[in-house]
Amino acid sequence: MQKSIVPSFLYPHWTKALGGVTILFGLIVFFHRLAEYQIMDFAGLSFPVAMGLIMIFFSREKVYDERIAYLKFRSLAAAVPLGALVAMLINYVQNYEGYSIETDSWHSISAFEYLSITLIIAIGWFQYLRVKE
Amino acid sequence: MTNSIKVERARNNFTQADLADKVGVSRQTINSIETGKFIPSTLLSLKIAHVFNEKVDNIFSLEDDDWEE
Repeated sequence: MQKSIVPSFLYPHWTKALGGVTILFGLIVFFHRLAEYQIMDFAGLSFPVAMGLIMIFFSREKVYDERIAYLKFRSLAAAVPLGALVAMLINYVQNYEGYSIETDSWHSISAFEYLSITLIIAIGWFQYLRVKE
Repeated sequence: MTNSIKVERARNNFTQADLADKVGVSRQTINSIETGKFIPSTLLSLKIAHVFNEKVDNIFSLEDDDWEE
């Protein structure tokens, strides 16, 4: 009988460590630029953070079975619209003063920032579901 | 959907961890199935029934509300 396809598309467990290293690298670069050049570049930080979170969320757990796959899907299904809502709220707050054509002051969070927010929610929700259910 | 895994475990003197090892899932997954929080796949249901040397429909049975949308 053909095996379930659920476990086969996920990264191996060690990818979690690689994801952690990627996030750590992004944070080191972020704080180095902040300390040396006073540049607070959240958009630049969000790329390694998003990549790291992808590796952490989509890699296998130590004990991986169909319940874990189901809980991961549920947490992702909750996180995607919630992350979009958070992104909308952030954009609303950033643009509360309104658009200024003189300064071209329209702010919007990047796709990687949205992805980071969504995956942080998904990982947190997954850990909660794993303990609760 | 209801199941008689707990009864079958007691009959066969298995712990949740024993059954989990035999079918290749975590103990928490067996617990979630027993308490009705998680419905297993066909493959896992067949494995559980096989461990107890029973037919699947002797272990798992539908309830009326399973037919509702």
